[in-house]
Amino acid sequence: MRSIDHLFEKSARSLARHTSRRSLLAALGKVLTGAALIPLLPIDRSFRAQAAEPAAGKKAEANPATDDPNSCDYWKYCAIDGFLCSCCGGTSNSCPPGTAPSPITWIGTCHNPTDKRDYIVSYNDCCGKVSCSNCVCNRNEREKPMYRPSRNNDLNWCMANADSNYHCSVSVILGVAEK
Amino acid sequence: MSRCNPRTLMVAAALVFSRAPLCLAAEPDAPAYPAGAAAFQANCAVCHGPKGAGQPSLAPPLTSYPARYASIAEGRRQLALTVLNGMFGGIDVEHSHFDFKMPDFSALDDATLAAALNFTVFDLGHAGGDTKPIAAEEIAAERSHPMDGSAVRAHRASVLASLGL
Amino acid sequence: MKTSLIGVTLLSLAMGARSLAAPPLPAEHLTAEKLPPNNAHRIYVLDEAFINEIDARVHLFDGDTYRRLGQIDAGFSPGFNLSPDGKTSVIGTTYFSRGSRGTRTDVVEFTDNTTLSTSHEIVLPPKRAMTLPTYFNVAYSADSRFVYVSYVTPAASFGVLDPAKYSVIGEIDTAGCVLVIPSGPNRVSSLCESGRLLTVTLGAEGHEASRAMSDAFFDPDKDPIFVQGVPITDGYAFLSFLGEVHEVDFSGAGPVFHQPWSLVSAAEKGQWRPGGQQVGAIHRHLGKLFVPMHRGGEGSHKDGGTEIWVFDMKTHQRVARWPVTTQKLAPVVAVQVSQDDAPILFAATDRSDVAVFDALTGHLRHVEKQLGQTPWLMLNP
Repeated sequence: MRSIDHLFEKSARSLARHTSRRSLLAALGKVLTGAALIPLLPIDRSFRAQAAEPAAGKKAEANPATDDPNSCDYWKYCAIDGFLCSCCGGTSNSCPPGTAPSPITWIGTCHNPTDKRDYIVSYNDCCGKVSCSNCVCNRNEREKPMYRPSRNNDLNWCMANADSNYHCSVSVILGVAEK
Repeated sequence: MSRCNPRTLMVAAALVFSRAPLCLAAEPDAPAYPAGAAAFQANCAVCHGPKGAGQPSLAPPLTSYPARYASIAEGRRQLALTVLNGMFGGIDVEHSHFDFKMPDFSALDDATLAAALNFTVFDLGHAGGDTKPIAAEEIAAERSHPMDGSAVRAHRASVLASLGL
Repeated sequence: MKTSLIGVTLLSLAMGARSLAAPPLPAEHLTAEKLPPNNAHRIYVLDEAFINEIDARVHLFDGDTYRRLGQIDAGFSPGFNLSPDGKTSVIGTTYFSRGSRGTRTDVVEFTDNTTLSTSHEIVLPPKRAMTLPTYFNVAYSADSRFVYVSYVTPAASFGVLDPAKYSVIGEIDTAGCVLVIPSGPNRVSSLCESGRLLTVTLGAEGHEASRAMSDAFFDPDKDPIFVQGVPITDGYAFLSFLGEVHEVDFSGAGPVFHQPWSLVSAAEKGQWRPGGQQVGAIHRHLGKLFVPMHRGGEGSHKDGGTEIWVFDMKTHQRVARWPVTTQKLAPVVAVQVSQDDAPILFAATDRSDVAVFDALTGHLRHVEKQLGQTPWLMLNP
């Protein structure tokens, strides 16, 4: 029986797939200014649900984790789902050797706390090998269910590749988000 | 609207002596651009549908605008730029909104891309006889200066303005 | 032989001269088990095995004896469901010809739930929606006449299959609407990007006879619904990210959308949210809804619940809050409840354990450790 616990003990940088650490912190009532709790997004009223705005206008401060492409907290990974290709022989925007990028993908909008801009990010999958099984990471900022596929990270976006096995996910900046 | 001559007795000669598309009069709804149809089905139909009807929020229909684009120079550039560079960002086509990331198809050669565009413009869009087919050279001309997907979208907006759309 | 000799020797040492009379152990006879008849506390746990995604399985577990009962293999990114009579498991899955790569083959497989032998398959076009498991990736019609399977390529459509002849009847385009929600005799509904519901009515042979689009019943921009609808007596209840419950009644000619009611008070809204993979379970006879709830903001809709809240479906009042993390359980990502009069709630956590609660009292009876790698959907017949 395979345990996935080793993924979470692996390094202080990697986070549980469902960010249970975040919900635990929330339950304890702590509010952090770091990446862990406040979404890395500005207040964008065209997308926002009628949620309580977290500390209105306050954005995540840049910290080592948000700049680290091997960390699930990396700012570009705000809507990623799967294994980080940077832990699999690729980088945050390139596929590991022997895998093929998916031409179709889902999109996220992530806030870069260093230059304070919002970027449109494309989460291409790298395909054609079995699961990388390293650095599992799932974040869901502005992610939507399957009926809005362009914003959904549950689908296997390798689906249209010749070899549609899923290996890992990258994050590719497409451009600055329009306000 | 097929550009085929329904009289098929000269088909074999036409193949050899002219550049008219192959006419399969036995199948009256055969595409005027069969190579383009094949390229479209293999690459485009997965998002735009086999008849170019599109899919809500994901991929716009192609049965109307591409034929209009092909009637003006900047529109023809837009067709080439789109297939070479892809596009992303929200667009509206006839009151429907789409917001996906179209991948680029620059890996396909100029002739294939031109054929797929001609299938789209003439077979799906029914462009008129005074619209010239897209030539492979028009694709080649845009290949030398790639554009990013948001610039392609911005160029689209200016094309739509010129066409009064 | 040697083992029984040792056994006899030890026995005689312990018991003296009388031991020479004890006979050796008889030879054993090897058989394969069959499952006992179904009971209300049996649970089918779909393990997506996300870390090794081509190796998904369904684990069968007994919620009374806490025994593992067996396994059904499920391939890559499967959809899973049970026949209305509970006797058959249906799995929609994908195989690659060389395991990790090669020609893709999509199939729907049928497994007998007594022998756990996979007896039949239907080969599909390679279009199956490869996504996280829901009730609506593959589903039987209520009368078992058809099996429906969701296709996303990313163009959306669905397949209609004949589970008696093990054949494909046809494919129906859904113009972008996704999933297959059985919604009445010969009817299948799909969720649309606009917040509407598409319903396709089939003819007797399983081809499209007509279709209808509802008005929008939720706002996908402001408060999307989870696609994980929860079965209620006459239809499904869809929970939204902000905690609204949209009950949809399919018992009539067309879908009827009840006025949504809220899981959260005005003060709690936006703070406490439902979340996870299988977000909600309903005991239909008792009219109780169980939801994993967490505190979080936008983007936390897949976070597991730190509490399980229990609601009365008639009064819409919360009747209990069961602690999860304070009982040393990891957050709960999937829940399912048995439909009998002494019901059990099964709760899968994001550390892959499955907790067994008394569904009437909330008493935690047992934690089954590591019931699979990533248990994300639980069904009980």
